[in-house]
Amino acid sequence: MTNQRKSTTKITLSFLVVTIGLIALFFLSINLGSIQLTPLQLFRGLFVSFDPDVATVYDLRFPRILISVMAGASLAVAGVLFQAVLKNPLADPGLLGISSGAGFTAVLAAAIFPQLYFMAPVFSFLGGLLVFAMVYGLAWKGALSPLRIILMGIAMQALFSGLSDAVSSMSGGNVSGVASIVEGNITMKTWKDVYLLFGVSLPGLIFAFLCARWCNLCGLEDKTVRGLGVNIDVVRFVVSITAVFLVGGCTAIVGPVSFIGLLIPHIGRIFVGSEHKLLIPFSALAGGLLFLMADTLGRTLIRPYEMNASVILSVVGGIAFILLLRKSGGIYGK
Amino acid sequence: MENNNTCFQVRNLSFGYDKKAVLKNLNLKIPKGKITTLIGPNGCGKSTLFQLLTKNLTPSSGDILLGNIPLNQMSLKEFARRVAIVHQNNTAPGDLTVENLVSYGRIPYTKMGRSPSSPEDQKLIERAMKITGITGLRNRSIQNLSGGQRQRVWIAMALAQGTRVLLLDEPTTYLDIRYQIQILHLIRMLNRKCGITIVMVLHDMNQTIQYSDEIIALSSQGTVVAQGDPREVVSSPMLEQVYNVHLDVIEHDTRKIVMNF
Repeated sequence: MTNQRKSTTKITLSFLVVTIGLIALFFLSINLGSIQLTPLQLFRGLFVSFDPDVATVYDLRFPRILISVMAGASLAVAGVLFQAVLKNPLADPGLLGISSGAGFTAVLAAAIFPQLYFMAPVFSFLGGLLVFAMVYGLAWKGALSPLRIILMGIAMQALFSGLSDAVSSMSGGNVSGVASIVEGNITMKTWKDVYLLFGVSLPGLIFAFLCARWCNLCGLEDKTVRGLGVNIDVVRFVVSITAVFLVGGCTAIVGPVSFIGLLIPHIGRIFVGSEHKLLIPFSALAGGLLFLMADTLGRTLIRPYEMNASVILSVVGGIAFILLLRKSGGIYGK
Repeated sequence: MENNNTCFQVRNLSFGYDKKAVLKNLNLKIPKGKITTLIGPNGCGKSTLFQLLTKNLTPSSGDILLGNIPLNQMSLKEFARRVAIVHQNNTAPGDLTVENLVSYGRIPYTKMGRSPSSPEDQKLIERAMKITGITGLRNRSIQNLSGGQRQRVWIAMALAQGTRVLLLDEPTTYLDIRYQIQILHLIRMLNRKCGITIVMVLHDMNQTIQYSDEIIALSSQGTVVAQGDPREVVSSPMLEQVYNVHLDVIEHDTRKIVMNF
């Protein structure tokens, strides 16, 4: 009983810390840059009367912040779903090549039909789906081999990020839409992008949360799940499609981003455990926090220049991951 | 009809992986209310038969009836309400609690996405934990249990399904002798006290004789060599036919003992 209570405290505390961290960073991030606003000024400018400074911040920083949070949340949750469904702690939208595939079709579509901008999430969803089907199909040999899946994913990632670069070079590399997707940078994002991303990711995240119980079942052997009267193939299909949908949506807006889908679920399991009803919302919050942190650092560290959030994420993520692996032997070290 | 005393009936069952036939034209009946054990050498197809009985594989031809209903006409959910299975090599997330895992046994009675929570569910979960003697472990995580405790948790999960039939694939493998006996006692108790039909795969001949009402011995060609009361059918020539090795069988009191060395 005491054990149980202690872990409940730990879980509550973890949620509290990421939520407060996210809110604090949100306001900090609004205020970092050449224009500074007091909370009162911000409130007035937004809700009471026009303020040119607030308007600038509203048009330039708000979309960027909201996109960071939403993209981070989507990628982290997609990572949780992939790891559950593939029974593979290394499954990550980036490592599986899903992000690259999604990025490639988005870039291709942007180069060929630039006027279909608002369809970008659809194209990248299809690209992600194609890669997922290929990885799954090629790695399937009567059973899921974790190693084959990862190797196949790495091959796909190499293939499709190469193809993306090729398309972007062929289109001169200066078509802004194409270039920005490839680099995964979110400097020039507008409210239009925010609506697009939220329109895709929000339903995706809600559906992912509804899949929590299915994800829990994926932690058992396939035949055990079948023995409980649940068709595991259907479960796997639905959860995978949800994950690809989430990756497709944010790749269309921010480009392929690795690591966040790998790192956050691991951190999540350490703090809130493997119950997906907790792990999915926690990962969404923590993913949003991490991406926003990376973007905020990226635009403040070396002012007036900027670093891509994905660059920061790779560096920070890499180091954090090594530290985590050294500490968390208890979870996957068996 | 004829099936009043039959749990499973296997009719002209054939199955093969790729082109290699594992089971050819198998016919057998597994009785209701008894403990039936499948034995046979490695690769004889007893695991395949087990997977066919549990709907994890589909026969190439022939069929399996549960009661009067062919398995292929039964949905996974219907099947899970009639037959519970304890597979070999079970895995679960290490931080899952015993009670949560046992509650998964009620999934066949829930709509997808709902947690089992009706008073009936709770009653069966409690009962399953009580019978298997794990009530005191309910808040422990799976990773903190011994092998024997863990096996009892899997059996409890199967019991929570509330079925009249329980299938177990090598339930004592990887357990030390003390836990082996504990688990076999539990299985016998489930049969004798709760009237649950048991079908299991075992390797140890003496435990098979001791704990089964009926054995079905498969040869390495996947054919039935013998079926019946182990005290009657187990003999040195029969074992030689099954395992292709000579083993002496001695009688001690009214028991048969296989000298497995």
